[in-house]
Amino acid sequence: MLKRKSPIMKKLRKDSKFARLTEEQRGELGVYLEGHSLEESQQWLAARGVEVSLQSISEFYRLHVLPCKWQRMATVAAVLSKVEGESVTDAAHRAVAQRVFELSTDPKADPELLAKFYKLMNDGQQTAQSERKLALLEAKARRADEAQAVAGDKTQSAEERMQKIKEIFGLN
Amino acid sequence: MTDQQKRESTIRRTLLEDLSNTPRGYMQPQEALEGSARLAVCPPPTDAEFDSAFRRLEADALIHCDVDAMGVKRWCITAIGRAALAEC
Repeated sequence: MLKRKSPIMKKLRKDSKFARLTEEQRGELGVYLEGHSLEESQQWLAARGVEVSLQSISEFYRLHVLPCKWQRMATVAAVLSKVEGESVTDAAHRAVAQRVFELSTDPKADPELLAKFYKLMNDGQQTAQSERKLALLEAKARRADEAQAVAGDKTQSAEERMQKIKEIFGLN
Repeated sequence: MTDQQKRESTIRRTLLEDLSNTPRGYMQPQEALEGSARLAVCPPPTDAEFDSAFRRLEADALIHCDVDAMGVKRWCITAIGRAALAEC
């Protein structure tokens, strides 16, 4: 059903028209290709004195640019796997990791920067959780102080004091 | 196999290959897959050819689709898809 050999990263043939480009220009072409059509890329190359067919550009993309995209995706996935999502649910962690991963399809994206972005979000979530925890502890301490004051109030009967303490802790 | 059938097979193979190189646990948006295939296959596939390829691959259980609340389709390869690719 599906017949074609797997593309592999190949060295450019010496007589390849793409060999006329400097290594830097080939890198630029790779980035350009990922955001433009074959025709636009053909014009881009023509402006640099390289006349090639659309078929040749497509082959260049398949053999030299696509494997770089796959490598980039693998790098981003590896970086993301080191980011712990302890403070968020598994589903939220997966959803954010997926979105950050998608940004990796942009050839200009810096995987370290993306991971830092995700870590910041994660840290932000952790800070929010710590703040919530602190607020709960403060409320608990406030109730304990109130209960202690009630317990020490000898003007009330033991029954009244117990009733008030229950009210403070919301046990009624 | 006619030229048309060969072309359809090439488009399906290109999509499957791109998905097989997507790290496990991640999916690729359909837009990104199509963008890549438009460069890897010459002449670039039309929308109708993409629709047909995605439908056929999904019907054969070679790929799986998730659609989010915004209607964005994301694809990943299935174990059957990996096996089919390895056999080619």
